[in-house]
Amino acid sequence: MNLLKSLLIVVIGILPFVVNAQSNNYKVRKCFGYQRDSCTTSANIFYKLNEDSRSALFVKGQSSQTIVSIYNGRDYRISLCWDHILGNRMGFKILDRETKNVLYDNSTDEFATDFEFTVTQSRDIIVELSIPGESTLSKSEGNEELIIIRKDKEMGCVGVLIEHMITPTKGF
Amino acid sequence: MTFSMKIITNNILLLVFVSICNISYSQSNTEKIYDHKTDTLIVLGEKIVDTYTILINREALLNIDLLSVNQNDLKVVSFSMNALALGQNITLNSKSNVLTTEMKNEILNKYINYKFIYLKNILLESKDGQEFLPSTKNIKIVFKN
Repeated sequence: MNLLKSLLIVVIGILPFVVNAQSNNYKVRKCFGYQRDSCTTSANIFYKLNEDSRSALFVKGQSSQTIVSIYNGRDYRISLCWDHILGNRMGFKILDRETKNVLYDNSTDEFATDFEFTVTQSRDIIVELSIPGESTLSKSEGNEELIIIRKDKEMGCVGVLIEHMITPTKGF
Repeated sequence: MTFSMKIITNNILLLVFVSICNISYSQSNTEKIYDHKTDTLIVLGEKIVDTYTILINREALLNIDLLSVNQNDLKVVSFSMNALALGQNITLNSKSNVLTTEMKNEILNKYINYKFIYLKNILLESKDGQEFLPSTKNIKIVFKN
């Protein structure tokens, strides 16, 4: 009986670590739905989830881009969230897909993790994320050398949550 | 102490440790809230700004003409307003505590429709001419509408 009690307490004791390590559950796709579970949604109830929201597994030092279509007459809110293993700040840029002009850069906005804007011209934008730091993958020069990446120290999930709503009319 | 008692004690200690770690981690993620008496805070209209981000109606901000301070012997002598939107980044300066007409026009800009602005570089001065900075160096004003 005592042994059973001890076993129970051991299980309870390790439960937080098991929960914490859920991101290493390989029965589900890594980072799947991370943006839904981890990013903070707007307090504005009129915002709806945009289907271009996504999440992915990133390595320290990695940069990646995703294309998003935005439409005139809508307000958008793009927010980021990531596993703390990837650092405490992240580079986030929005570029015009055609002209490649930088429309927003969070390094000029105190590395904000969300950006809200009104669209006055429909276009495709590129959302570019840059993870700070470096890993064995980012340091390698594409040679066919063996690369070992430490999953517990160099990789983590990143979520990009996109919300949209019709731009509220001003005045009567 | 029996072997099983040792295990129980160890696991209770482990649970307490994990709980403390979780509590301290969640607390480190909360935004700092300033004290209205001891901290030097900016006052917008009637509201003392004690957080980095504040939510306000656009019209309510436009009705405010001056930035003031919660400490009686201090006043705002200059500040800048930084407005960001997609493809827009504008900074306007005020050489007094007045929210200038240019700033208000930019806040009202229906075409760009800024969703938030920053108040930055706020400089305070005491009656004897000494310069101070407020506790909240920058203020992010997010429009509710």
